[in-house]
Amino acid sequence: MKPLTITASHVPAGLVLEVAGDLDYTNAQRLRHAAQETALPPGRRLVVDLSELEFCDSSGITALIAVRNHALATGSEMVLVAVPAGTRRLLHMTGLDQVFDMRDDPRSLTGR
Amino acid sequence: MSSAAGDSGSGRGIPGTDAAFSALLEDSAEDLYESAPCGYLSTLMDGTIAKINATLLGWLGLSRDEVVGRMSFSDLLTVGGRLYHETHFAPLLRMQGHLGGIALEMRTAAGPRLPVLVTSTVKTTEAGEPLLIRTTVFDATDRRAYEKELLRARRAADEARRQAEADRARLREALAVLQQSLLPAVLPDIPGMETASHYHIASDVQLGGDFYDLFPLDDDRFAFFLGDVCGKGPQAAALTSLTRYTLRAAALHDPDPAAGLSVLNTVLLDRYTGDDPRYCTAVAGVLERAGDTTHVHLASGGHPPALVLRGDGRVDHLSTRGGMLIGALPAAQFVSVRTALHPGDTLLLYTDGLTEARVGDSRELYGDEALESFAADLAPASARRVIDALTALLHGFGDGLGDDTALLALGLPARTATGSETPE
Repeated sequence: MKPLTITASHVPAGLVLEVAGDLDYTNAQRLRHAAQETALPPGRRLVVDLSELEFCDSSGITALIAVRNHALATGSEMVLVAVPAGTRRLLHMTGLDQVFDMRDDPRSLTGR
Repeated sequence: MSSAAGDSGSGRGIPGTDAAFSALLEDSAEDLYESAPCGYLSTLMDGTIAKINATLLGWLGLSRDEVVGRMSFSDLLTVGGRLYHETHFAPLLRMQGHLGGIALEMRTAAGPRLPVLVTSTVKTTEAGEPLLIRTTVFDATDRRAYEKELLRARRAADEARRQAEADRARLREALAVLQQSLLPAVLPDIPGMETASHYHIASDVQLGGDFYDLFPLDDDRFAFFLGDVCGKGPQAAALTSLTRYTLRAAALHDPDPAAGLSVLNTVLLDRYTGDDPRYCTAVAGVLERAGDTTHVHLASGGHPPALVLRGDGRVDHLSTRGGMLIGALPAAQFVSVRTALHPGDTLLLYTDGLTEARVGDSRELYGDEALESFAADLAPASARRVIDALTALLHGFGDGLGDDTALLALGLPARTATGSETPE
């Protein structure tokens, strides 16, 4: 078990949330709260960087949906970056690969 | 250092200490014997009491004249104590010459029993002949009270443990009943079809989140569904209940399975809003009989693909890729697929507890491919045989099976040589 760390940083294009470690039943709520607490101006982009995500269960997927709902409600778009294979498989199986905008390279999005 | 050495004897220099020490030196041996904080008595070898101190007489409420030369040691004991004295204490003492720390009870003149700890030593002559027995008696009332308290605490702990176990058993029983209410008591008989199911619950103190059902729509058609709600426990059970009755009602209203999943999607989004999205994955479908063939029309929302074990040994997986999680998104899409079952074919529905199980030393995912090749080795197989084989497979996963797992198999029995088509 790797502890979950969520690091928020502001970039010109919007906000980057780096989610690292294990995202599961015990801590998925933290990701929702992190997304809610960060003020995202309308029209900006929320980038969720999963390159350091070690594990994600169905509760983690629920949290990603909640974050997406939150972003859409504030008039922003959400992008998942560097989705690990296991999480990508879950998203495919649940049809959510059609819903989430998934990209491989974070740099073009964040302007860093 | 030198001053420390000089201080070493200075304790006696404290005012008043000298006087107290002198008083102690004048304390007579006789007074020490009579008024010691424990009882003393000396008996002849036959037990007759020859000497007893005032402390013990005071505890027992007896006078010296009543006791000395008239009573034996065992006369001071309760009936139980006397018995123990005769059978154990006295023989052992004679054998060993010393016996210590024996718990006995003495009778007091006032009535209450006095718990005591007894130590005895046999005094011998120079020639080694036993002469008399010296006995010290300690009042063990406090110690007995302590022991009683310990016993009471232990009884209370035992009782609490029994109560907790009973509560746990009741909870387990209630959960089992509730769990059963989320599943069909028995699968209905479908003419010309064999059905079998299995439900593995990962925990006996947590309600499972998997569900399935099979029920008639009319004379020729049956509807079925199988799925997995997110989460566990009472919230998951409430979600399962809502899901099950919604899918049942929707199927009776409109047999198109994708329409049923859309209704469920709307209901779940309406019920669980905002910050607490709750969703499920499910396969729902309709079986329609036409002669020897049963047509299957099924739709999936985010659920692993159904498998068909064909009568000729092939395995088809009914891809419903693109069907989305139910209850997560307003514009969710569900994907339908059709197939036909012929005699010898078996349709298998399962939840991802099976494919997400961790197997082997490296705790690898069991996975879709392993399941398909397991099914390929099994095919052709009846519904019962498929469920039995998978139940054994799940059992073999042991600890690796971390989640609930539901299995439902619907098969058309193979034509047998002894049937209507008699070989010539």
